[in-house]
Amino acid sequence: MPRSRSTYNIDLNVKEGHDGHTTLLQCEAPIGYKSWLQHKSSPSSAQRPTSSVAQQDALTAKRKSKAMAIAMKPGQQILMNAFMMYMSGSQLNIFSINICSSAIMSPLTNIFAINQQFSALQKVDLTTAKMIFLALNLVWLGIGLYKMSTMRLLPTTSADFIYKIGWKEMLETTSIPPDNLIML
Amino acid sequence: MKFWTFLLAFAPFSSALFEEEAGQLDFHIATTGHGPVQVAYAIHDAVITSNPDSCYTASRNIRDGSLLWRHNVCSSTTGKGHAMTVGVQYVATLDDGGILRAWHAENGLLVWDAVVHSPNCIPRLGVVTEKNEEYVVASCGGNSKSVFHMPTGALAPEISGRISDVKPATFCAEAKLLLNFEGSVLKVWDSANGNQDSLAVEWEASSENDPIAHVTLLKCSASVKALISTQRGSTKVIAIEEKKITTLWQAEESLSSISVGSLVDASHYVGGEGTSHDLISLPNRLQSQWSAITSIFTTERSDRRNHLFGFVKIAILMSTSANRIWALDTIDRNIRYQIDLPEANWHRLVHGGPWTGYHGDHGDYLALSNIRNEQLEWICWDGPTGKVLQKGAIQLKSPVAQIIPVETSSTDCRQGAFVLTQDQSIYSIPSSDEVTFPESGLYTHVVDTENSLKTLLLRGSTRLTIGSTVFDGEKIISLAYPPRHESVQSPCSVMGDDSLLLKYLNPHLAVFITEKVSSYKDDEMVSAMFQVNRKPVGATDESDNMEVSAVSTKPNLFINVVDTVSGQVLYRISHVNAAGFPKPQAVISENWIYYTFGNSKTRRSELGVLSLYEGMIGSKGVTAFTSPEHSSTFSSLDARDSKPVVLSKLYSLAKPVSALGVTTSRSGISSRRLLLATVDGQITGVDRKLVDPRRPLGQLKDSEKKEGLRPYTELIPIVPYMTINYNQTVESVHTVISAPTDLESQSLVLAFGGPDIFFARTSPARGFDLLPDSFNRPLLSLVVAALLVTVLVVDRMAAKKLKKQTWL
Repeated sequence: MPRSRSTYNIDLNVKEGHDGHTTLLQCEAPIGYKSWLQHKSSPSSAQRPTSSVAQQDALTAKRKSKAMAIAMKPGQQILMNAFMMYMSGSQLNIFSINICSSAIMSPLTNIFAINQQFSALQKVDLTTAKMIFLALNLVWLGIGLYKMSTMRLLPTTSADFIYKIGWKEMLETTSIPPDNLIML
Repeated sequence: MKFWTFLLAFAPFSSALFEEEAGQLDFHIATTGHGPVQVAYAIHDAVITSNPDSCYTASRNIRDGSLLWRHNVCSSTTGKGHAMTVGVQYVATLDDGGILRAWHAENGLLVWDAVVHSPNCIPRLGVVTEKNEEYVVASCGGNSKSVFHMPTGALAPEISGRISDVKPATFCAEAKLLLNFEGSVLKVWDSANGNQDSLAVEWEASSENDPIAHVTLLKCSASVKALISTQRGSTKVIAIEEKKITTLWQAEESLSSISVGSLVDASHYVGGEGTSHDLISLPNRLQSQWSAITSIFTTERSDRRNHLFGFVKIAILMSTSANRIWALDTIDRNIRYQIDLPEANWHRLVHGGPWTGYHGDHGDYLALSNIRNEQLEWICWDGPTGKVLQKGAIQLKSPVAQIIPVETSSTDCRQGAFVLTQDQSIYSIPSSDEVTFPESGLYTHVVDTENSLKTLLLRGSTRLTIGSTVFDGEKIISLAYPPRHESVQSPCSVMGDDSLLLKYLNPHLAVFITEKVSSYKDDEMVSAMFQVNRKPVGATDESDNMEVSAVSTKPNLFINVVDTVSGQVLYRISHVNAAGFPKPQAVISENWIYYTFGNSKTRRSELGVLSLYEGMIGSKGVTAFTSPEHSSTFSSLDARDSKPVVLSKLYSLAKPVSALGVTTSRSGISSRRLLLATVDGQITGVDRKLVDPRRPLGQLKDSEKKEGLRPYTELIPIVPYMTINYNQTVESVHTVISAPTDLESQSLVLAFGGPDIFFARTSPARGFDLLPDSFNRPLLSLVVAALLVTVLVVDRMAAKKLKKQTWL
């Protein structure tokens, strides 16, 4: 059975960046090749059937509901993660560290990849969905941060800011005398 | 097969080797305890020595000087002297309390004891032999004598005997030699009949400052052995053979009377010039590991790396009674040098200054000797080497009131002092050009009489009295100052609920322990006699119950925390039923004060702990956006700032405590351990958490559990494995000092005061930054090398396999 990725596999297609690609582009196209390309890209040649307005609306509604479903997805994970964080306890161990780190990283990853999450639904208005998605992720992040603060991993108390308590300068100078000066 | 061969070849190296660490990181010097020898008798291979003005009798091996046994023969703690005599097999002692004891000369075991007389005995002993039986004649002064059969202790009134002064044997008939001395020179005479026929040998037995006090013949044969004791307590046993004198052994008996000591770092003198010792650096660490590896193949001891970690210390020990200073090397356990001081009323050891810290400390020391309150002689020397830098004398017009250590600008002697006399004169040592007052002036204090304290400001020629305190009706019995070299890591303590307690760090603190001076009005019996309804003693019915309370309910011991700048008593606590023995002790560490005293009612020792704080900040008091309202300066003269909030607790100890100490570390990060020197000769560490004044009386809250607090229990257990002197006995310790090293986890402890000196390296928080000496370096090196070889071999094998698979 031939292997898909053999050492002797040679791809003969000249792609962008390959040697000779620029030269090939400058060459004339074969006879009939250009007209064939135009025919392929024109809508009329696609032979797509035309859709009615109602069908368009239904499609839009579907897209919107899909967007809302994506936006609400973090909300379902919040409850599960909150329960897992509760069960992991407040002691520092591998389990609680794992749960906490996923509670921080997951919403942050979701927030930074928000456009990718909704990339398939660009044709509808996604503002509301994105706002809800962002809010739920922020709630999730907040729960993660709260868990970290209960585990004393965040500087939230006075004990974390001891450096703000400075040493006092002594205004008077003394010198400790030899211990046994007084005959006792 | 190859695997098993490999395993068998290296299996022996896998066994862990653990050295017995006892004696490696500590040492114990046992002296006879009696100071200069005044009485010496030879019995078989031992020499029994004593001093009538002390309470100790001891026996040393004549050949090597090792201490065979030693006994405190005084029956009471206030005993001051005894008499001693020896028989053929027994040693008899009579103390000034009238207790006669007989000891077996070989092993020091008590054979019998008897009461000769009531207290205030002036002891005298003699030995009489009658009918081949030995009898000891004991007298407490006057004409009354008691005679006891030496082996059994049976009274033998029928035996009459005289007590005559026994002169030490100095004439050896067999070798025809007579010994005597003049100053510090031993003279050996050829003598047929005990006369000084001709001088055979003159030998300088000691230095000019330390003349010979006593010479005794120990063995008289062809080879003569003699014991020489000097006035300052040096004891030598010499052998005289064919008119040649050799020293068999030497001991410093006056090490039993050390009054003050200090540990100075001598690490920079090891390793030669140019060797960097100041900080723990990677090159130093790598060098030390390399020398540890090479020491496997050489006979060099691995502790030669001690200088890199600041373990090499010199213990500067001063004895006021012997007028001498010794410098004891804590690594070699030898005396590096000794300095003889002039005979004086008192001596003081001065080291440090107002701003002395661990890294800024120099090694110069100053010793002041007060000669009849008319002259003050001083000597300045380099602590690690003993080189005398400067010396001088000051004529005094009035007695010394206070000594204030300062640092000088001199290149010769960096240790200076101001001497304040009772007529308010100030003398500068070394000289007034080299020692100056700070611009803001220098505060000091003077204890005027037994119960009053005055604080002064010295600025140039001005003397200003700032404050005074009088402890009316009391007498100062003990005094403690904060340690000079202590590092404090943080200005606050963190509690379990993340709130902060601000430590009260006042370097001008002192603790004065006072006891009530009883007056007739305080006497319970006297006050009872003035009651109107009281019947005369004896004139009571049987049904009457008349209880006379033997125990007072009025406090008789007071702990006063005083600021030595303002003279204010910042805190005062009193205790009832305090006993006079053991003497109350106090020690200050950071913002904690520990003190101990005996309780005559409970018959136990009590440990009081005070912790001083400025205030508290709640758990949300300081955040990323808020700062605490906190003054950046501290003034003892400011009434608002100077008074602390004090938390206190009292604990009980099973054993009486004779001295207190606290471990110190380089940066103050390691937890500190309280050291208790008990009267039974043990030095035990107590963790600070165990004596925390914040231990709650009721149930623990969650925050208290998180902090590690335990519920309050009165009794502090003495845990055997926390005893740093394990099975050694360190008798009559009156001072425990501690010094930090360059490693944060390690602390050095020195205990002295009695006949024993003990030094140990301890790790209060375990050795978290140090590999133990028993760490198996060969095994580790072998494992690393084997892993490297394995990685190389396996890498090659994997590449071969991949290539083979690719060709298939």
